[in-house]
Amino acid sequence: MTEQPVPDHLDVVDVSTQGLSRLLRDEDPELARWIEELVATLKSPRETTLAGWNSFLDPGAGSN
Amino acid sequence: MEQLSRPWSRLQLTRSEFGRLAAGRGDTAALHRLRCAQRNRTVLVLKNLADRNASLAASAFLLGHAHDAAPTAVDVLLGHPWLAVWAVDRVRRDTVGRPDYLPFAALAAAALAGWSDAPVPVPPRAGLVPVPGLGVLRRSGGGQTVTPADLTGRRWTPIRRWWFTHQSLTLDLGVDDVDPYRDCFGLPVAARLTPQRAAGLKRSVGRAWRLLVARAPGHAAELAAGMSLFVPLAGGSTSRHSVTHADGFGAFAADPDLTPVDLAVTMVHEFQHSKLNAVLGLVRLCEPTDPGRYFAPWRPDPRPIDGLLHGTYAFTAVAEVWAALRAHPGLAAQATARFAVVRAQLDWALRELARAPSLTSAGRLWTDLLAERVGRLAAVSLPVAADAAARREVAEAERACRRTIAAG
Repeated sequence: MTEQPVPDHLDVVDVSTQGLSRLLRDEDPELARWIEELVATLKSPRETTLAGWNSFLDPGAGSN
Repeated sequence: MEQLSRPWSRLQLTRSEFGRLAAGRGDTAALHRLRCAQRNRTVLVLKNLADRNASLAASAFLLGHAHDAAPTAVDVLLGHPWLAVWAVDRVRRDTVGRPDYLPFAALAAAALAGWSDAPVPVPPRAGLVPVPGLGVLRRSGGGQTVTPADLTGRRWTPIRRWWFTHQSLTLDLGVDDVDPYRDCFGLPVAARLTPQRAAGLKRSVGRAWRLLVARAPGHAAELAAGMSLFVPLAGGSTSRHSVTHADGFGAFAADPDLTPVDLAVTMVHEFQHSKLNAVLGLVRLCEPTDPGRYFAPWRPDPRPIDGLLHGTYAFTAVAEVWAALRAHPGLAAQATARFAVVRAQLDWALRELARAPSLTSAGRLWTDLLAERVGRLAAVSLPVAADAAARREVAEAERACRRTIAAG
């Protein structure tokens, strides 16, 4: 039986079974698009605001 | 000719893994998935960096060849917290104001692959050469390369790695007090611990581990499956005694002089942040546009929704540990007092989460599962005076925070 998906799942490409050297040589445009999206997300203002520590620190950041 | 794409699979949490993580029962499979997700992200970022920078590409390919030769060991390296922190920082800012970490990771990979005599290029100005997960080498000259065979002798300082086993459950913990890139937490880190101080810390971690395995075995099992690295903080610089980095899965920094019981609670607390950070890389729990600020009972300042989610998740686990420690003859009074306060804090936190409009369906599901855990804690019987004092303390904190929010 297939499990129900988690709602609001982000789309993350899975390269975990690829060898790193093969991945580095891979020129698949779809993979390039996935990586561009990931990098854009990591550079987004929200991600950079929340970057770094999150515990007992900077009241301005995404701490607990 | 345009190259055709091939199908790519997605890295996803199953619903049952998500549920077990929210419920504090993250088993080995769920934690393996989180580690895998963190490594997956690091590898994708490394490819982006290698595609844009020839120097980094050379190091990345060396790392890749070592991965072919020793996949299991190099997989661990690719999941190293400082490599992830550096890679994400590097892709965001293009420069990180210090030598790139990737050549050092390539050196570690060569060592792990057993290429003793392979000359690995390292930044020429690096007098101190960190070798992720292994140690640091102090260099006297300005050579362009280091071989794994150089990682020995009096110039080599290895990272301490300790194994603690109690009731067949093992915590495998590295203590990093040498790698200069361990300073990512934004707090002063301790210098290399003396043998005497390290022995004291080892005793404390051992006692903490026995406490957790005996009293909070579910949380201990999670730590065994996912916590990997401890960074001692410098003493006297701050009253805040522990911290986690959002990109450094499995690592935490803390005061090395914590008591065993505080260390036990701290390890559980900080690992919740690691888990939730990894979950947030896979599932959207809240809308990113929520401008709201919420009362987070463990903080004097109003928090954004992410902070409230983090705190509620972490302190739910903390409350569970304190509740379990109440049965320990030597800790009952301390555990009862701490549990009363944290339980009262969680009541408020859940009320705040309930009014947050920005939680997604997944966020509501996550919060509902946390509420079930807090509901079980509500059934724990406490002395009336302790419970009342805790609730008064938290209510006063809430009023103070509301005044701060009202004042803008």
